[in-house]
Amino acid sequence: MKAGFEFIEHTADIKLRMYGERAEHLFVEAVHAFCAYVAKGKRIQKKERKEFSVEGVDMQDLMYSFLDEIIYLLDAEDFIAVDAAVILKDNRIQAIVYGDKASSYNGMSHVKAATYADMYIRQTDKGWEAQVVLDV
Amino acid sequence: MIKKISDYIWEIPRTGKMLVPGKVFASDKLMGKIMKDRCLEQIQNVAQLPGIVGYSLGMPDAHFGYGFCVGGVAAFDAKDGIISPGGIGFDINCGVRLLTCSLNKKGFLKKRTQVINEIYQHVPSGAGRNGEFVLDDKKLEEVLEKGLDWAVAKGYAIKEDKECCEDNGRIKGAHAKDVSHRAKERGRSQLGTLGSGNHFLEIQYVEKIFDCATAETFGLEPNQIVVMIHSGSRGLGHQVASDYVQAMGKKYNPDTLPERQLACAPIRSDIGKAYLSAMAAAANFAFVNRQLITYEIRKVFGAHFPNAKLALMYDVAHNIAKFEKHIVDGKEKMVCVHRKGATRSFGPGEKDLPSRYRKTGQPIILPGSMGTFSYVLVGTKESEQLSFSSTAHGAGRALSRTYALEHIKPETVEKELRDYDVVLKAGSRKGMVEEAPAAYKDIDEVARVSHELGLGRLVARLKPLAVIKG
Repeated sequence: MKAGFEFIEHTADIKLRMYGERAEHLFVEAVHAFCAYVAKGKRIQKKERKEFSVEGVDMQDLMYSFLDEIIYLLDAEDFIAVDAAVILKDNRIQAIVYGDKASSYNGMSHVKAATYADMYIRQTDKGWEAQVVLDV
Repeated sequence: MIKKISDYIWEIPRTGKMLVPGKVFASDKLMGKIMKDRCLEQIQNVAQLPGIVGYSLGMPDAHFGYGFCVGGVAAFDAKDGIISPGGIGFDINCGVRLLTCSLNKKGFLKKRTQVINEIYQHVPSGAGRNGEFVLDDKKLEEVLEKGLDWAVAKGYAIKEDKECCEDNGRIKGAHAKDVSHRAKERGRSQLGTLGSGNHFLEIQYVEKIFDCATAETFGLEPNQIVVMIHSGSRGLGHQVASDYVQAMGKKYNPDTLPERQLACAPIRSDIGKAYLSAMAAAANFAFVNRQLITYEIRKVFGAHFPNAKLALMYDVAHNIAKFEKHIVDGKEKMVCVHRKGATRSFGPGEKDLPSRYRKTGQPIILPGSMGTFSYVLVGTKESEQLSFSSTAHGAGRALSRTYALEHIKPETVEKELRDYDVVLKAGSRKGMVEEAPAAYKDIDEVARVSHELGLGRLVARLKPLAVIKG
């Protein structure tokens, strides 16, 4: 299964669906989807990198915490993530994210928060699939 | 499952685990749109939360949200009920203020483009643009705990501004210690910024007056220029909500909830109290945010129109929880009213209102969406009986952002706005399309239903002349 993401219909907010062969891909694709929404199609360069790790009580909680960190980087550190490399072990993610200074680009959108609404993460015959709604 | 019980009132009978019935205020036309998504299911889910009293309510602009619907109102017993951050929303004290200007339409139009361009430069919008008010820890804590009192002391606000904010721009019981370091870091450089999404700043004029006496009290007259600001607590409030949704979910078993996003805690628990304090702090931050945007606008107006004064008519929160007394089953009871995408609509005589509005009821500001009217309404006595003193908060979305991007052309929106005689400054064309007027419900219908039902009565109609979208 090829890793990827898509935007799904949602009246007010942004619903993301991510796919991949392994669970790790879901987190990397979440970064791709996040960037696609925030940068509105602008090409973001990989000029800087940030490292962090997050934990969760389960996979959903982990995804929530992971996206919370990506949003935090944008708001507090002016860093827009465009790509990531992650290691997943025992509901803990160690991540390196690549991206650029957000204020170098104009017309970026803002994301308020990740939510648990309609969230799922599951293993299918073909690989892994996840869904998250972002409050924008 | 939903029954129409009068022209504009629909009831969802109590079934399954619902503790109270649901009720939605809508015309047939609005209900047609409400029923297109899972909004009613969300109203039913909220009806299952412990301590809910009366009804789980949907306002005329209700639409699908996350956990609670947007345009949702629910009151919980102040002793035995819960508090749920999702019932307030991630953007704590997202709200609207309206400034009235002693300038008429004709006078403003001479300098329209220049003025909107300068405001656009001084009020950052979108993501990744920081404001000029970057605060150290001590100052930030003062903002969180003191709200508009801080702004008055620093010369960013006048005394009258404070009087014309809900709760005088300072919700009590706010302790900066209950706001996480992460939340403070996110908000530190965002004071005085608009944000993106549905946030906006519009220069409008009073196009029509419905109720002359009340309009006069509110300081509104035909053809007068007004400025509407729609923003909230920015990253700080969003992080407060994220933190407490997660923490409450971990502490109180989410398996018993219809949805994890409905995470809640007993109002009197330690975490419940901490959230209420953090929510008040974020709300104070939002009042100051809208005040600093006002400060910048006043500077630009002052440079171009030296004789024009911008006075604050009112500042309302539409994402907030408040302790209020309401009649439940014939008895007065203290409840915690959660309003998520809903405006308080206190009628005449309410002692919490500024003295100038105590005879009329409070001003309610219903923002439209750049190519439509906005409205000013007045709070009513009837709304106490019907909706825990609440009404709509705007048009409410009808189309998803994805759908809007796929089906609406930027050129069409641009032409529509030109034909409507609106000058738009937007961060991106995509953002403009996502927020296209066609993506929203009919604001005229929302205002009409609110008026007919008596949730809030029509006072004036406003038409945009210049718009900044984040």
